[in-house]
Amino acid sequence: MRRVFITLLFLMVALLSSCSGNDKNTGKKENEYQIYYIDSKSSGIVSEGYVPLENSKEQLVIELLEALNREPSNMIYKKAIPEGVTIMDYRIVDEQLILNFDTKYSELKGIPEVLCRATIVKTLCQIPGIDFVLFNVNGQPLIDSNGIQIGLMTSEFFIENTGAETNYKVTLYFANETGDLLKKTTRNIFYTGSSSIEELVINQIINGPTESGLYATVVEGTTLLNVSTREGICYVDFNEKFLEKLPDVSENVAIYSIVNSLVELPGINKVQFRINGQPADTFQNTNFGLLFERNLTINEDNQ
Amino acid sequence: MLFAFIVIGVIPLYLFTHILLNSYMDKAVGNKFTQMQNQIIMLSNQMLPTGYLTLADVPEIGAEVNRIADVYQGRIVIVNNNLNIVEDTYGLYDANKYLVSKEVIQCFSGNSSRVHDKENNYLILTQPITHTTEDQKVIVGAIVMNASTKDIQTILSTMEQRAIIFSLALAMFIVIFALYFSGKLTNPLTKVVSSIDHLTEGYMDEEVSIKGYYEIEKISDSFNKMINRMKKIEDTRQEFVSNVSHELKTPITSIKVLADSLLMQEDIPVELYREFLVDITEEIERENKIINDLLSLVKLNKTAGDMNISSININELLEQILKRLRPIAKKQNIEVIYESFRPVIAEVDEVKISLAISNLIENAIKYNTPDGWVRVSLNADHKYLFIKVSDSGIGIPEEVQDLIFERFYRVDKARSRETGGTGLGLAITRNVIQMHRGAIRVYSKEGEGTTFNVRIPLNYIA
Repeated sequence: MRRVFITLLFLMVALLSSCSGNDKNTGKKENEYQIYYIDSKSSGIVSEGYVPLENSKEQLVIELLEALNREPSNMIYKKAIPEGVTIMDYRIVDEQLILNFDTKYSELKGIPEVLCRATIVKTLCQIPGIDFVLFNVNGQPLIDSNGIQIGLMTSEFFIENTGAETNYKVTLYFANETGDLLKKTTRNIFYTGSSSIEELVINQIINGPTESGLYATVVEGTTLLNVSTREGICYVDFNEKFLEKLPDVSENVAIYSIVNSLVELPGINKVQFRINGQPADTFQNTNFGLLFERNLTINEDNQ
Repeated sequence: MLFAFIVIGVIPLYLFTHILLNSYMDKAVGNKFTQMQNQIIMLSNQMLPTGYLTLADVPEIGAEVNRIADVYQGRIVIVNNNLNIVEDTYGLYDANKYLVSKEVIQCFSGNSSRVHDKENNYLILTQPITHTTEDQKVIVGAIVMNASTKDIQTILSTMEQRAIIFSLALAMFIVIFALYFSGKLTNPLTKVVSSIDHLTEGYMDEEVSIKGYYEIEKISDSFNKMINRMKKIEDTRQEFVSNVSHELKTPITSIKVLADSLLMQEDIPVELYREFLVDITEEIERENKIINDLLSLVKLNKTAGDMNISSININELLEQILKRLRPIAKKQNIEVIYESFRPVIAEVDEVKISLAISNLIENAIKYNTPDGWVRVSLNADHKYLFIKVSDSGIGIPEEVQDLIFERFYRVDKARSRETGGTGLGLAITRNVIQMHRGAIRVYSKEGEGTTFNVRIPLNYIA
């Protein structure tokens, strides 16, 4: 009996400690900027925190550029701007910052050049009011190693991680109250690039709406087994639960909630369904084997 | 105890499953990476002769890239030597973006990387695109390929589920088995315990019979033997008590009878009084003897450590005893012969040994035929002394030869009463000999005679 008690005690302690471990996500200090540098093995961009003294846009640009030109405190980091390269002048036009480098910049080539650019753009775009950066070399627009002219750059131009979360806006269709028409809604979803966007959209439909006035179109327990797009046709493979259909939703509403949402994505024009890997002839009383295209008439907005 | 059983049974199974599943996953993942790598190499070779990496539009390559990404249910991102994103099958990144990830940059130093994201279930392979000519190897780009591990994961989950079900079933089975088994084990022991408890309360008739495991059976056998021994001891004790009271009562009864008969009559001649009083005196003496014998027996029992050891000349001891007993022998006209092969000195208790040997010789004389003989011989080797008392008497029947050493046991009750026996003599003798760590044996044939052989160590062992 005593041993049962001790085991229970252990479990409780374990539970409690795992609970408390979750609020380590304390926010950064207010007004802290990240100054970007290069990892000394030149294999990536790293950053260090920095609290500037100045407040205005102009002053911040000067201060951050100075910070970029200093060697970082961490031993294994180094600054991305190589020695000898200087900024001759700069101009701020609305949200654009135009930096003019001296000719020494042209000596930078390939990956080191890209990294240098990346650190500068990412650091400076943190300044509120600066959204774009343009590089000039001795008054002329920058041309990269492949001969391509580099235009305005934003922070998003430099992707540090293919799995990084991006904010993606998707359009979804759910059922109206009476279940015979589709209502449109848009959502911002965090997309990590680990599954395809089609998969994400379909799963959003399966999980149902969160907004009021919108109703689910797909039976709970439906799973997306597979989805792939080829030459504009998206092939969607559900498990058999999909065929059960929700009672207060018409067949067309169920089908087109998926089809119309998918067709909103670039590259998809038509949708074909499968059930458990096999083509299915009928969904309740409608023909399920055809190639479905966007149906505008079933949208409430188009009545 | 139950808990220990479960832990011992289930934990190895859990560990084993864990290890097995992990090695399956590692192998499957490794295989997948290798396949992905092969695809990438083939793709690279297709790509190199074309201007694909410098953002020229080559539809066949584009289609091939999309096909491969589809097959692996993943994503392919291709980067050129300027870190420009040349292709992204998810369509998230376009050509004016740069991929500055660590893995990609390291690619350009020739290192490919394999990452398994277990949380989100996909693999990331980053592989350089190498242009090999006779003189040099140039890295012109990198391919990042994501592939889903859903298929591996599905198999793993199923296997894990099976393992859990199996473990639970095993645990249940172990619980049932352990409960049953421990019940079976402890049941006989509980029975033994309750029997012992019964016994201490006084019930002697319980016998435990436990079938099952060999060791448990042995316990119950030993236990039963012990109970029987105790029963025997108890019976012996009761018998002894009843014997004692009977023996003590008998002379008293005789005395009463004699006294009563005297008192009942009137005008009895003085000679009759004298005669009866002689009888009464005899009975009293008899009673005295019994009481003394009893006392010495009890004393012998109690004070086993009270030995008065000294070096005694056994020859002299025997001669003294014989001298004392010769008159009695003469009455029956019994010839007493003493044989001594050598002088014997031994460490013994004089009084006790004297008593013991006296009893033997007295018996030899008492239970003899008229004109018979008694032979006493003494011998010794370097360790023991040997005394032999033989007679030509009535002998002892074979079936009771073991019983004669029991207290109050008499083969022929009538005979021994006549000769004034108490039935305690041989019991005392055996006790004394045992106290000296010696041995006594009897050989007898009815109608021919009896021989008692006594062996005693020369040096007293405590």
